[in-house]
Amino acid sequence: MKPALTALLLLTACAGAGPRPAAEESSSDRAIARAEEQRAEELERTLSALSAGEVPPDCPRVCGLVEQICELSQRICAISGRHRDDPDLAARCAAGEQRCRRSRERVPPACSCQAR
Amino acid sequence: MRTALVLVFVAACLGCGGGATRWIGDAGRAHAEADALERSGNLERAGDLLQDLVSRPVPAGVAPQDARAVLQDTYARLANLALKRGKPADALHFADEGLRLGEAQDVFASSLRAFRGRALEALGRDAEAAREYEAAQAIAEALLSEALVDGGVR
Repeated sequence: MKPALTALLLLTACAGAGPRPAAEESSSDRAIARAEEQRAEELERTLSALSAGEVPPDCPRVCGLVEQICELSQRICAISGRHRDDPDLAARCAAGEQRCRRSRERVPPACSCQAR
Repeated sequence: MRTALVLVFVAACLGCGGGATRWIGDAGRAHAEADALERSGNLERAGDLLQDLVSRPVPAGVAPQDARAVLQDTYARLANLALKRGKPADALHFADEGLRLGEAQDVFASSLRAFRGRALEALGRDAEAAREYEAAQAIAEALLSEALVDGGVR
């Protein structure tokens, strides 16, 4: 340990020992309160970041799921293409394509999924 | 790869329980061996190995959700192997067996639904296949929402 750091630790420890005058105590309380406040603000910032979706996304998982959703929509539409007179299949194909588009739009900018 | 992760996770959850750990170990070995057989083109033998795995009784110490994950993953692989071998009726049977174990909004159910769809499509049952693909897509979309909300922690 560096000598300056050792001295500082000793000073801090010694300062904490023994009774303190009232004025000093209230100043110390204020310092503690300030530190607590800072910590609360920091935690709040972290929480906001988390709720705003700033947690780094699992890109391989996200891209894999998007790819799967779009591949399934292609399969549904291929079936619909073979049965052009079936409105139910056409509706399923349209819904599937919409799901694929919606999923691609939801990919966070941090992930660069390659569309196949 | 996914199978290996499932097995490692389940093994970690089980700790050192004798029969349960042995079952997970056997499952891991069966999948690894099936990988090698599949790579060498021996799809039939790979399928036999995995069928042997799903036909064994699950030891009492394995949690039901862990047993379901391992077995459904294996059934999905069996369905895929059957499709590769041009046996869609077998693939449909394996997908059904897997889904019979229960269904959750997870990758296993989505995978089984997709393989069921492919089997039905190969059997010429197009309308049913489309419905299965749609069901698989709905699960995958829900999984995407989860991945985006929690950063893929689950």
